[in-house]
Amino acid sequence: MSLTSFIVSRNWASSTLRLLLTLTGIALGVAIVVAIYVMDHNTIQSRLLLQDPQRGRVDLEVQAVDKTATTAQVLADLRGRPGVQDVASWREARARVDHAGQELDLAVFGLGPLPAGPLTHYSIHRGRDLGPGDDGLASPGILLGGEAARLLGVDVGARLRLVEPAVRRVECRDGKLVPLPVPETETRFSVEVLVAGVLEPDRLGKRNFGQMAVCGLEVAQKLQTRGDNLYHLLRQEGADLDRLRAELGAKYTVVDMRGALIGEGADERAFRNGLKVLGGLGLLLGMFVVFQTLSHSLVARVRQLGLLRCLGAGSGAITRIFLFDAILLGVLGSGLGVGLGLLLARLLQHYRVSSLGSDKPWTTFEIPLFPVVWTAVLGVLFTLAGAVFPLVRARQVPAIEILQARGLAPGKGDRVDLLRSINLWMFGLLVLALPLAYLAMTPLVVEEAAETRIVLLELAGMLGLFGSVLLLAPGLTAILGRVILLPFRLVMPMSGWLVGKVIARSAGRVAAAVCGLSAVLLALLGLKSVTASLHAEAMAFADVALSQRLFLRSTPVLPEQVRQLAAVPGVQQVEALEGEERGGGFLLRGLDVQSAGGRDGPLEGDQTLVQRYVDPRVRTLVASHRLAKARSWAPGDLVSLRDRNGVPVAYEVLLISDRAGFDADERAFAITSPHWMRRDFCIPDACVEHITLRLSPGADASAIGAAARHILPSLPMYKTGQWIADYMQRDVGRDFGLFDLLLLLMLVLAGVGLLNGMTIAALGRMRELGVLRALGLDRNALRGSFLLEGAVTALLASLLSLGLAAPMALVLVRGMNHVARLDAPVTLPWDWFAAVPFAALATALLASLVPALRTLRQSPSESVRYE
Amino acid sequence: MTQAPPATTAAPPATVLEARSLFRFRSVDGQEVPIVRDVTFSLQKGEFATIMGPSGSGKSTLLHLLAGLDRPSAGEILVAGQDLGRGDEEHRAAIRRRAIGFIFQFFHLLPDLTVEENVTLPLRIAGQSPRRHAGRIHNLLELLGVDKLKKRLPSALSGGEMQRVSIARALATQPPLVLADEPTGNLSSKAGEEVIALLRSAREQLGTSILLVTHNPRDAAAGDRVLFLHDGALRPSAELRGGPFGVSDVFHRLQELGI
Repeated sequence: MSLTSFIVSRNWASSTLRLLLTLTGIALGVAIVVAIYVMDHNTIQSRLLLQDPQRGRVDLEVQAVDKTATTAQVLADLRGRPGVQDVASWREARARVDHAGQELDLAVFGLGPLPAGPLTHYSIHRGRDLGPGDDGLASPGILLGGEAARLLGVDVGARLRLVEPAVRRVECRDGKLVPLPVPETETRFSVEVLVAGVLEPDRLGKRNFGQMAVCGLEVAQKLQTRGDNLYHLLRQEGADLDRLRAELGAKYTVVDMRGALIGEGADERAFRNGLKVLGGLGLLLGMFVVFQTLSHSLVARVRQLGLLRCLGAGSGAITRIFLFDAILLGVLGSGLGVGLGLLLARLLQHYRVSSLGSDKPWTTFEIPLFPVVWTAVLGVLFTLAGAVFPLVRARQVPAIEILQARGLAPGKGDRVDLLRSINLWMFGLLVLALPLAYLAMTPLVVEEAAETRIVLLELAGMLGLFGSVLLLAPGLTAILGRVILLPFRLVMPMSGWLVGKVIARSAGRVAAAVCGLSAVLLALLGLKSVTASLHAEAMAFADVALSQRLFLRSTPVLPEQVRQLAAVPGVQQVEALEGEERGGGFLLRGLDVQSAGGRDGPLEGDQTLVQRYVDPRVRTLVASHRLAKARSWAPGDLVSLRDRNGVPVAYEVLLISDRAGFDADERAFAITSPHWMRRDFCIPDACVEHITLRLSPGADASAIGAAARHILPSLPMYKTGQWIADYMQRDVGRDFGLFDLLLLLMLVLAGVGLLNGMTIAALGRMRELGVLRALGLDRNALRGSFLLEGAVTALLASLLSLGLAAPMALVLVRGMNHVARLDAPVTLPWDWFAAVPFAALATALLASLVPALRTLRQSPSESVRYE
Repeated sequence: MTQAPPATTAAPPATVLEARSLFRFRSVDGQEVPIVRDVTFSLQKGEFATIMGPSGSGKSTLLHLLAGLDRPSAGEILVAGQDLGRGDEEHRAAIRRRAIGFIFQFFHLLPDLTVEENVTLPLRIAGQSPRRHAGRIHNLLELLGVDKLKKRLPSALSGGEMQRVSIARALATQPPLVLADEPTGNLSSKAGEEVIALLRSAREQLGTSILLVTHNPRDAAAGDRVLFLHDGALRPSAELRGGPFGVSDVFHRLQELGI
């Protein structure tokens, strides 16, 4: 066995507690991040798989911003990007087929290149798949849907002629849908194709009830000449989807409606980002524990180092010993952490906890390689960094000075202060390097980079402030600690005196413990502030948009039924929402001016706005707060939408208000005059599906609900505003319950850090404590000194976290508002502010028990026998 | 990286240790104060010399210079023919590894290693397998009377036993030179006598040169030569040769020197 492995194995065998605590620190930190990333990755992956059962697996659907780029150029560019497994172009068209007297209107899907490969858009029932030879116009082949083959009476090998439909498109003109045929002067495109295979009735094969065909891209482009190609991306297993999206952002737009699917809703963005930030904090705390443990344990082992050097060990041998120790610890801890993280992720999956909130199951269990491996690497690197500092310092101190030092763990008085400047090193690593390294693997879910930078700068400022106060100013901790001790010294004079000495001698260590504990407390208060602010936002919305209302949804409601509803006792007003349009990426509904301008309506009491709302010359809309915030709209702004024909039309933002309408999914909506819904989007007259009943004060909602059921017998949705408000409140609390679990784990981590520092320091002071016991110090006073040190640490941490919590809450809530485009009011959870000192005290006292018991177990005679 | 000195294949030179005009200054209140002054002496193969001096005379500093644990401000030190002053810490560590065994007043045994592991630690540091030297190490432990304790941890040993283990560790690599820094300073007089007897026995059986520094006249009297150090300087005229001596001889010489 080499000297390196001999010394390391002996150290491990003799310091099992140190080993256990260090491994726990690394493993818990890594596990929290791994669990979060696996959960998030699979949540999104599961949603993507569910998004469209009528085609194959597509991770991203994009469109090139540069319209001059050819299909081949776009395909080559996308294929060359890291994390992309496969790319295909996609175009939808329609075609007419005449065969043996049978006429059929086919949905045609043009794909390129052929065959479709890993995207698995279809499966073949009989015949062969399409190949490169089937592309182009020379001798194209197609795959025919099963129903189309049956209706046409054809099979594999048959030849068909696909003809461009007679109606090229349908336009909306003056509120009416008008078909536009191909002009007489133009020849309709037609091509003879070979039926290469017949499809199974699944995925694409079941589109248009099986009356469909798959062909090469060129044929589809001829059949449908308008519009651009789409491109489907399949990422490599483990590649991060958000990262890929962010990288594509400059040259491509994601064109599918994935908002609700992948957590693009404001709440979901906030939740996912919160999780990732929390993951970073978990890693930081884990590494903090490791750093503390390794630094202090190396200091405790410095005599060994001095002796080895006196016996002739070169600095290379010493370096190898300590680096081998750290690397082995890092690898083992990180490996353990990855395993633990995967186990935690399995548990979260089992309990249906996802990164979009609770009770949202995820079905896949892929391991995203980049973040998982990067987290493990960070674990190893920072463990190494934890060992390097005291090692470098120790190498600068002459060996003989180490051996001549008086204490087992030499300190300032011995001229061997190995921990001098360690706080600066720790500050650099943990407050600067680790967050940057973490952010390198964490693309936050955002819409604008500038906003992210603001948030990150604010967070960096807070981290800097936090780090500066604690890591760079242990003297402050020493002074405050002594002040806190004053009352305790009256009731526990000996313990108080001992702790005073400890704080004076080891202010850096105490400051570091305070730092770790207060980081968790700050995170707790910060996140509780976020939750409280989201609750407040939901309540504010409920007051304006939900209070005294009943929401109904039914099949198109007749005008007569609307009149009957208005006549129900207790109903003050009926708001009939006419039509829905989502083409602008948000929900636009029509609301008549009587409702919009009536009592409690958004335009109530402002005749100018009412007149503008009904003005047939000016398109106007009323946007909800969330929508306005998300799009940065202000009253008077002009918003460009595309009408039914794809022609841009400008709507003026008349007002921002939540007082009309409600969309349970996103709360980002707008209303406009029904006139414009008909004119621009060809919504049929009186097309009402959603109705809001405004109730008189004190009205019996259940009686009105019963009356509504009587008037509208098929009523699939009936909800009171109060029910929706309660649901929203429950939803916020339930979703953020996951954060509580993570915070609990971090509190354990902080406790481990405290326990670790105190235990190692106690072991270093064993001789001193033995002497004190030999001189008559009783066990209670000794035990009391540890508990008191824990209590002082807890109180210092509480003071600091309570002091910083309010600005931290401001930063977090503002950050959340920026990133998630919310408008939540900063709300401080006072009950949690009151609970924090107790949580800190409980954690610190529990952590103090271990070193107290460990010290009491040691015989005083053993301690004082020899150096 | 510093090249380790080449292994000595020929017989070691007759002079194992040579110090020439050694000086060591330390800064005290901004002034350079000499701790060791113009020390010149040599130690022959198999010689057992002691350096006697009162507390604060510079004994330990001189010993640390000779062991390469500290660097002289001026002067030259040759250990087994190799210049200790040339090269960096790595160079000195390599010479320590090969040529010097060190015995400390406070033993400095590693508490987590057994007696046997502590003794074989220098072999591991020198990159040698303890197993290959098992027979020799067993004899060494037997010679020092700790062979039955080899599986014990240092915490289970008496002070005398710990110092015997420390001597065995110093001899484990068969260095031509052993430096002992007040090896009996922490022991009872009986245990101290035993330790001195063991050192003499080791010198006789293994041919190791031993330099021992002490303020105890009884220990000093055990040497073949006794050198007297006062205020950092050797008193060559007072040196005793042809030992071992009686304790009274050493006392007498101390009185002559006014120490």
